[in-house]
Amino acid sequence: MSMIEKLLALFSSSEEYSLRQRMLTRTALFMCTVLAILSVGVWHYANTSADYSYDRLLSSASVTMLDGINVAKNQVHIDLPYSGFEILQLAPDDKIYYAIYGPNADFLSGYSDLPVKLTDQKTDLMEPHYVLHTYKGKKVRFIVRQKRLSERSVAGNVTIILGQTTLARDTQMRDTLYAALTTLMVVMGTALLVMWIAINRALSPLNWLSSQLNTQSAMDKQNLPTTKMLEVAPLTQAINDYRQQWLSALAAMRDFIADASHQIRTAQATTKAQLEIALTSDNEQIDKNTINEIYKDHTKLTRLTNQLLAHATIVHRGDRQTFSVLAMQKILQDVITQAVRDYAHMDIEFEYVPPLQEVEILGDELVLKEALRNVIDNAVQHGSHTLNTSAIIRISLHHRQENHQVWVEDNGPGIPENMMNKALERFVKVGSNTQGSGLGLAIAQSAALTHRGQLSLSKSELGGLAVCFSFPHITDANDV
Amino acid sequence: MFRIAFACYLIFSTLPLIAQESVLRLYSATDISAIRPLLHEFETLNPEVTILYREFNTQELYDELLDPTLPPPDVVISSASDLQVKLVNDGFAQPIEDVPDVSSHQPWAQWSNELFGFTYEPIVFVYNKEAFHNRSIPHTHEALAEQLREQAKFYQGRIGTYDAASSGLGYLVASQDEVTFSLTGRLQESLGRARADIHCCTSLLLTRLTTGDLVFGYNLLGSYAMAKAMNNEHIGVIVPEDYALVIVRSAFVHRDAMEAELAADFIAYLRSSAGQKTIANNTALMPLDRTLGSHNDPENQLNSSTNFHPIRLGPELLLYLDQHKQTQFLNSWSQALGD
Amino acid sequence: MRVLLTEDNQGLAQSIVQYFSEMGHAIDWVDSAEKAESILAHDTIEVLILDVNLPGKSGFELLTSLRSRKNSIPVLILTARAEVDDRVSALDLGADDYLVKPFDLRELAARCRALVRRERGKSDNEIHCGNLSFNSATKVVKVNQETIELRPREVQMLELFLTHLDRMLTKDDIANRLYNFDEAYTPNAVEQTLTRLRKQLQGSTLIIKTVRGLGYLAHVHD
Repeated sequence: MSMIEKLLALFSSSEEYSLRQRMLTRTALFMCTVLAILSVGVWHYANTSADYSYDRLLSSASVTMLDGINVAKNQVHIDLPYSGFEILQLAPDDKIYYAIYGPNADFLSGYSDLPVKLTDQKTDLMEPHYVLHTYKGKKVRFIVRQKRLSERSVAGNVTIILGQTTLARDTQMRDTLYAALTTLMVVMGTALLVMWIAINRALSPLNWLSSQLNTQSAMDKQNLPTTKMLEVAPLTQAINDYRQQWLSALAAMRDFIADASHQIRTAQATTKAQLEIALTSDNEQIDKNTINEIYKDHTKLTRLTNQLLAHATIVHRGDRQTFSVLAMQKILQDVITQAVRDYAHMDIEFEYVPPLQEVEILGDELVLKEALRNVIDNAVQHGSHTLNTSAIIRISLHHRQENHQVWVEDNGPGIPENMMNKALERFVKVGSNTQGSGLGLAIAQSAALTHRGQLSLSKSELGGLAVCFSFPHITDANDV
Repeated sequence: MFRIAFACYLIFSTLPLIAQESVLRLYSATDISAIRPLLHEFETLNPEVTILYREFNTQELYDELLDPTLPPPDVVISSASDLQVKLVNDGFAQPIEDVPDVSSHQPWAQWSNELFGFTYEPIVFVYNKEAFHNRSIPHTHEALAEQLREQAKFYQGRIGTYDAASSGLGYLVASQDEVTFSLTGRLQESLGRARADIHCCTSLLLTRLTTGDLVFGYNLLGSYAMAKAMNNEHIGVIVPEDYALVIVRSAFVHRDAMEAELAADFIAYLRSSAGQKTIANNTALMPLDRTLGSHNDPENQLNSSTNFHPIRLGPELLLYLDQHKQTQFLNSWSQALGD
Repeated sequence: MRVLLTEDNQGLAQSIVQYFSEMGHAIDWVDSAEKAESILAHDTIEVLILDVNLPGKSGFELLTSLRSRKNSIPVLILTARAEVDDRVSALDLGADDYLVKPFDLRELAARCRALVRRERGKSDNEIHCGNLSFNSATKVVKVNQETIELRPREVQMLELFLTHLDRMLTKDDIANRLYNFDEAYTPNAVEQTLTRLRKQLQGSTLIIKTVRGLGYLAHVHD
């Protein structure tokens, strides 16, 4: 288990973590990596530059010393110049070893036991080369250089092997390395410090926000104070908006519960009163009419309950995760078939006007069907089905440029135009028929809204009410 | 050519060795009489230490270390800087730390952290006072060369100098003369023509000068000469005014030292102000710290305006130890001096 | 009609048992899926009314195990769950129909009859729809026990409707059934046949609705 694995495990764990710490650790790790890479580079550079400078000393000293090797009296004459050694004085503490070999690799002068092999004299003629060896327990850098003697008597290469211990070289290397590393460390340290300050600065709005939120109650209608920080403003705005939404949703819920309580309790009170009357009646035989009344009222209560639950369900299924691509024709056919079956015993004529081309929307099938069914139910309730004329309910589907539309029209008495907006509100009953709960259209509108569509009412050419759902095209729905 | 080699064991402390006592083994090319006060003082400062001192000729010391017949020493001291440098270069020394600087202006008195100089001994002319009565004494190399030419009869057979061939110090001085002074060749020829008497050791030369066998000594070690002149009215010492080579006596801790730490302490002592004062006041040597002067130098010649040329402790001294260079130099030297 | 009711609410169960008994149907009532299973193993039941929320094994689990054993008994699911999804999963799991509580007892009985009718029609030649009966072998149609004379095309049409009760049939569906490939027919021909059939069946409980733009749907109103 290496250190790195542990660190990785630390990062990937799902436990709570500090953003500041994580950013700092990651930055520090990253910088350490960079430092390590750079250090290798610097080390290499320091080595190369130290080698370069001290190899030049060796090189010039060896050249100078070779100048002192000549042919005199038909043999190799060695008179090493003082300057050769003086050049090497530039590395004052380093020791010097040398050896001179004649044309036949015969040892002429210096140290005869140097650990450097003589190179092939024919190849490497003028190019000196450098080798590092350990000699007398010390690291010694050697140069091997040759000089051609071409007198008649003596012809061939003399070789000088000149070595110098690496004290000065190593010192320079270390100095370069430490100087560079120190600079690097200071830069990295400064960067980390700046990073730390920057992170703290960047995170301060969070603290400010949480302190602001802590001092306020969740139900507080007051907005968060405006901030001058451009980056934070959208966040406070979003929190304000979010809170407003919550507050309005809460208010809506409160209204809904009040309305629903009122409706349900009224209906319950009615049936309860009727039942009490029936029970306290002196008549042993319960009047069938009374039972009928009770049954009718109970049916209304049932319907109301169903619709309230359906409405609540639709409103809370508003999340788009359950949305899928729906073929509207199929849905309408299902809904109509269901309605025709359920209202088969009534004198109602259903009509379906199919669209000219396929209509697909993004939506929740169950919610849509529930909403359409409620509108159809509404049409049945309010439609005209007297003895003479049969009620007509026309359901049509249109593919329009700007949206898709589903129309449900009837030939009933309809709603006066000035009442139409009111009709969409919950529990508002418009018109003469009192059978409705006043929720059908409200359910439909909620459904339309959760589909980012609209519900609008108008007067139908059939004479009654025209209810129009409009839904955005799939591409538009995705964009929002 | 003759050599005098005397080896002597000197045990200063005659008390039986007790267990904690350590022995510091010194192999040195220095007159025991010249260095004794230093040894005494070191023993006083370190009562548990016994110094074992063995005296050599410079060349013998070198040979002994290359091809040992005796147990390895702890400290090696010699005035032959070139041989010392060669020994250090060849790995006979070990580095030591915390050795005090005598003066920050003397980087040449130390090589790396292995070889440490501790004296400042000019090379001087010595003359016999009676012989030079009413004669002008040469104060420069050039003047000497001139007198040798002009008064050849006076100097004939009566001028002495070191034997470069047998004395390590003699070789060093002669070769450094060549490096430093462009007219050395001419001077050597003149010496040869004057049939200069060559000897291995300063002491012999000085004795012959006192007796009047020799009238002039060329390139003698200033420390011994001045010490001798202090007690002897027959001879006088001249520090050449044009230039004076300076020998820096140096010491290093031997690679195989048994008492390396003690050895390092000893070298540190040599360069400490206590050691330097002792050198100045009690020994025939002359301290590296030139502000101290020497009790053997009443005329304060050491601090005159002479152009002193200390022989730097450094690898360039290896040059004249090159086999070919040495042979060539000794050849020309022998030819010049006609030996 | 032999019915098994699986329902843990005693009040509701008793009402259903009473209603069905008064209608003259044989009905047994159990309050758990386990008991239902043991009865189904021994007795012949024509339709199973199954509540979803049961103590112990749920209605869905019973349904799943029945279907996995290739038991094709018609099953009508009763659900009180608010989630509309229950309906879908019920049908997916192999239920034949479902009703959401609260429901009309009349509606429940009609749905059960429709299921039994469909099942009997598969094996018997005789189909009963309220006051109308049809023998698929002899092609005799009776309303209130009285034989009604129908033309062959009308009989064919009636048979088609009876086998596709409560389902939407397009004009093409019907025409394909009534006419061969080589028989030419006018679009009005189907309409005319239907009009005549409706007239003949007046007084029966079979209603054939026309949905313009979509097709025709037959429903038994009893």
